[in-house]
Amino acid sequence: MMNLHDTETTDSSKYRLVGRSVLGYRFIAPYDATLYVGDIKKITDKTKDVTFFAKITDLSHDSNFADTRWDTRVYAEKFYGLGEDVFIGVDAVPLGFVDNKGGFHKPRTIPSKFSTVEDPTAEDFKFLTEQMGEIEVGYMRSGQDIIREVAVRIPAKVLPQHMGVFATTGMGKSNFMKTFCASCMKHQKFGLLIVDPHGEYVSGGKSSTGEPTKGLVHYTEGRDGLAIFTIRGDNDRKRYGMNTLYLEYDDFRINDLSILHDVTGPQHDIIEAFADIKGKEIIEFFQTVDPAIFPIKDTLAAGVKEGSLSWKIRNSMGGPVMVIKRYIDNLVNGNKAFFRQQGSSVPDILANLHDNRVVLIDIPDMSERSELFVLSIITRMIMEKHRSEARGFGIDDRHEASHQVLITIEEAQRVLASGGSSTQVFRECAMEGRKFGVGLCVITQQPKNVDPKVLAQINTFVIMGLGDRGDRDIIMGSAKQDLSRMEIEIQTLDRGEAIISTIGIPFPVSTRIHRFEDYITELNREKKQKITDGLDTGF
Amino acid sequence: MPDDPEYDAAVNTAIDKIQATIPKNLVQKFRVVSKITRVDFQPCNPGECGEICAIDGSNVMLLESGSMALVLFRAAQSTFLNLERTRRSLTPLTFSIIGPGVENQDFPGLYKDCFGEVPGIPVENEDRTRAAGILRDTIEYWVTQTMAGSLGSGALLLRDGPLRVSHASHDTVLTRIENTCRLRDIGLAGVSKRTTATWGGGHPILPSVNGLAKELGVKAPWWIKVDTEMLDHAQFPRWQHGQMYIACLHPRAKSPLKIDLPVEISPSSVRNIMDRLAACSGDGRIPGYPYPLFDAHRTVVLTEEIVEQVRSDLMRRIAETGIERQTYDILFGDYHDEFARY
Repeated sequence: MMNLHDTETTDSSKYRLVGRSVLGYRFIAPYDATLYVGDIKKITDKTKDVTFFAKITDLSHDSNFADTRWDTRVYAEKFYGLGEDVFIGVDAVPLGFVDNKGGFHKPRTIPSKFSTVEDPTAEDFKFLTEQMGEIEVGYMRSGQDIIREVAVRIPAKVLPQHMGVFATTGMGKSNFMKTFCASCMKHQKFGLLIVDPHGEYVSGGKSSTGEPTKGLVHYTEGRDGLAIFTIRGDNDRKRYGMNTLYLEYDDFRINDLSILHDVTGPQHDIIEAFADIKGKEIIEFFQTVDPAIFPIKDTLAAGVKEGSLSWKIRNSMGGPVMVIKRYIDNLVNGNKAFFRQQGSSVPDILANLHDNRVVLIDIPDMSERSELFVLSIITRMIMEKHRSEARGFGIDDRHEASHQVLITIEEAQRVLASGGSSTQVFRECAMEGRKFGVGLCVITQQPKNVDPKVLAQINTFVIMGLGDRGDRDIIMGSAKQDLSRMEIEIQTLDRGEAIISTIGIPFPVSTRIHRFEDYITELNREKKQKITDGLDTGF
Repeated sequence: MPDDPEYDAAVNTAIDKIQATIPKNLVQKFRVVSKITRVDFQPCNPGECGEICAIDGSNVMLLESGSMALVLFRAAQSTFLNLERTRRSLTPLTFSIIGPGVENQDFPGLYKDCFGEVPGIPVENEDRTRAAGILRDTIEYWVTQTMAGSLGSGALLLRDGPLRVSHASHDTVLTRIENTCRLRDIGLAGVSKRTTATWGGGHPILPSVNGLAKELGVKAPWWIKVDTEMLDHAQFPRWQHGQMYIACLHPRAKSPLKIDLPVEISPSSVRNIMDRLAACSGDGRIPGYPYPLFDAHRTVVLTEEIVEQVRSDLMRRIAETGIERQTYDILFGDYHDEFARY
């Protein structure tokens, strides 16, 4: 008797792994499926009893038809029964796999052919939640979806190993930084220094898109984790409980001029000659000196004592001395608001940083030079302090710095560009700061203009949308995790979205950054856990 | 082939022969002879397709030796309801040996398997291609008969090919199918991409009708009933079950189709079938061809992959039975494969 067998009506060709290698997966999905680059998929390998995770990196139209031009014919107005033979080809990059004991591993193997591809649940990401750190910045994102059960938290311990925030204008950089600050204020795991020349971090203002924003002072429950040093008037200071910012002349070193100005060789010789001289002495010298006496051929006749400052630069020409004098005059006059002969906030700033607070240096309406001036002085003093602390360590505990500080540098390409020796303090910080518990938070919209040697030191990358291919390439080449397959996702990141790659989290995580205003509202609802909570306070 | 007068002459002769069948004035000639006017062309009004079941078969010679050949064949049906496929089925892959001997030894068994009786007339092995076609047709007719008995009333059953049998043993089968369809109110149509039909001493009918429709400004989709009186030769009437129609089912159709419908069919049923055929012939890949037939073809076709798989299975089994490779090569080896390497 002849038979007629029905063929399988369910289509099992979709959502099963068909290729390709350890480094890249491929499966197909119905031609009308809604999929997004960045979607995370779970690949269940029943034969090995492990679950792989992969992120979609590319989508393409594909078909089983031998005629590759079937869809471009002029008479192609409608098509029947496309479901089986026309599909979306999906390329995905493996993230890793979870074994049957819940342990996460790097993707060093490949799922069995035809393993099922499906959407992961929040429960599937339990392993990831356990590996997250403390500093919450947003929720994990899978394509267009936000997975609220998985908060993205950067491990605090890796932050002093430098962090980079890379975004073009309008991608939500300021919102990210404020959210990051709020999270640091909540957990107080390390000191965070941030210099704000625009006055937007304190009480908010307007975003780059014109929306009103709030500031760090509005996170009232975390206020204890914030110390503000400002040049604002008494009313503002009292209203928000801010400290007055002062730097004294002795905080200054003549080397700081190199950061603020492009110095010539002869000027550099003068700076080098005065490298170890205290700031007050330098400033007073240049305020009184007559550049016309240089070069001094006969020191005795000119009444210049051996070892005096004039004697140290006796061979300099008058021109460079005059330029340095002008620089110093401008420095003193331009920063009158906080730069004075005596009395410095720096010890307080350091103390607050070492108490693991967010220290905000609020210098609204000051120039870019003033910002760099303040930043370079405080950075130098933090480095000096941490170096001297490190010198006091024993052999065995030397590697464990007692204080961890992260210094934020906005528009970092200004001071960390390739080949700039003038910005030595920041460069030192980048190259050896981690040994002393000092990390840099490098913020830039032009990573290609930052010294690749500096980028190579960064262990935490926060990428928030970079339009320039060169910028993307340099970031993908510098990150510790492989981001090369995520170029399309980086290219299509929307405002407020980021890819966070850090050595603490097993794979680069697509993140929807919390909106700062919503986040602090949420945090203000939580009662901040006091440091003494849980301790036995009785006798 | 430059500078080869003999070759040029051969090409010219071939072209002359073709041109004799399709002269420049083919359409004008046809218009005069057929007396077809614009009103003879009926428009199709594509609407709902309803339930349409298409049947097709496929066969391939797997192994051939001087004395015998092994043929592989199967048939399939694909059923659609308003162009959503509802069911698709296949017969098992079936093997038959063609030869040695005059009569095919497998045909009676296959026929009995399908229709529960032995065929009255045997199949001869001499023409292997024809024998393979008859074997394939046998299961195709079985699938058609099965579907005619199971489709819902009002369905349309499409066969890939004419409503004309090529072996006497199928005559009763096709008659039975027609009767079943009539009783169950199921439409039956045979759709052919080509036809041997000619008029006026060898002029092909399809380009003639198509050219005339164009000349008369008839816009597709259209259909026309063909008066068999004007055709060159009457096909063997006992095996002919259909009335011939020609239809162009889509404005962008590559070619018109020959449609065979049962002889005793009402004009309204003809219109209904043509409308439904046009309604399911809009697929952009093959406009003008009924999509269910295309799907049945894709379901049944014995692809190179399938053939290779079956061939390697056969070779493995042959080796297991103790037949030596050299014996196999002597029997089924093809020197053309060797020739092709050089």
